[in-house]
Amino acid sequence: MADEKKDEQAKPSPAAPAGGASKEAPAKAAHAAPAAPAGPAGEPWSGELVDALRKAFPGVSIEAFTFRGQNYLILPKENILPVTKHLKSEYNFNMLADLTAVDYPKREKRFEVIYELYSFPRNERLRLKVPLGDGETIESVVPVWGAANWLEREVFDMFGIRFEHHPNLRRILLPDEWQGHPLRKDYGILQQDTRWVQENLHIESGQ
Amino acid sequence: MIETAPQATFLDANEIVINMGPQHPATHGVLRVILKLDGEKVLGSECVIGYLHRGVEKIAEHRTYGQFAPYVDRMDYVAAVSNGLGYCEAVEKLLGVEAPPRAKYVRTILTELNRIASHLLWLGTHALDLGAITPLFYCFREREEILKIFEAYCGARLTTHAFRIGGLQYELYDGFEEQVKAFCDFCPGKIDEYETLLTHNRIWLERTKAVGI
Repeated sequence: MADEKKDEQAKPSPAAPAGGASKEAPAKAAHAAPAAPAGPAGEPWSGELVDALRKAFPGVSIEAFTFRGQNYLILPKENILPVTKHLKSEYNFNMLADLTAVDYPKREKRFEVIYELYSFPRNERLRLKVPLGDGETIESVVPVWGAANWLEREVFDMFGIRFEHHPNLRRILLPDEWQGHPLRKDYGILQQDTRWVQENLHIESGQ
Repeated sequence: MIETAPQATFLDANEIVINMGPQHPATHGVLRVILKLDGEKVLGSECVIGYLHRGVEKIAEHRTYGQFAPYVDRMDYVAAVSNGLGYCEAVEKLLGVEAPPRAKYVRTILTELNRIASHLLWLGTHALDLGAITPLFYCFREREEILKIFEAYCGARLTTHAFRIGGLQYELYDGFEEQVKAFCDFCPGKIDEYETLLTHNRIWLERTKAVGI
């Protein structure tokens, strides 16, 4: 009984992601669907804050955009710590609401680390985006906001992005010994660390 | 010469390290806390989380915006309506669409009811953890009235999926208005009852005042 179950479960799991993809692909081509709408694109944003930042950090490429009333800056990774320190001390962005990342596999620099800042005194939100190539590391912002500690651990856990000088950069959600980083786009939805599952949960597969 | 067996040294030690959880009756959810204790005094703690990690972001990668909406109900299962509102409004903002005014009113009413229900659950279980059992029954009595409204509206008490992107799941049912009005009339009086149970309760005060700040 147990063996039968094992076989049933073991077979479909590796084939499933590939099978699903190949079924969809021809169907789409046959319909000759209209071109996919362009993704959300920000409009250039200028303001007092951007001018002041560019003045404070000459020679640093700070691109500023706004989309649906949400302002964001794109920065090179080398400047993240000084810029965030400056934003906190000079512009009262005293809260790091979220720190996350996105994987864009087709881009030259595949990752984007995203900082969502909030200022209570100004009642203003600001988003920072930092493009990061595979294998590149970025400075931790834990010295600026303590809240970054667990959030950077989560980004490390899910994307494999390393944060320099983080006080405790270990996996936070998955087990320490887990192999792979699930929120990378090349990590399949059914994929898992089969060895870890078998050794620790004593089951063939969690699927 | 008979040597006496060495005494258990941890009894003499001031500091001990213990594991609390991941399964523990006092944690509403699964969480492991490694505690460094000196008697009852907590000297240090380290949290080990991830026991409730369900990979919803990964699921979302493989779903359309509409398909993913029911999943957000399960993120905080005592505030499903509020989660749904946040999610639907985010998608609407991204698409550049707006819900009609009527839907906005209904959304506000249901979300506020959910907020009250969620706070009642917090108050009841918080008092329960501090040793007061009665407030839990009182809070759940009022919360039940809200859940009845949810059930009549969409058939579910917890994972409501009450809204759709761009509007509502259903038109309001007959008698919704009276039921909500009746709740609004009797609920404030019940808060006085919680006050008599807790506000001047000596155990409640001693276990909450200046704790964890």
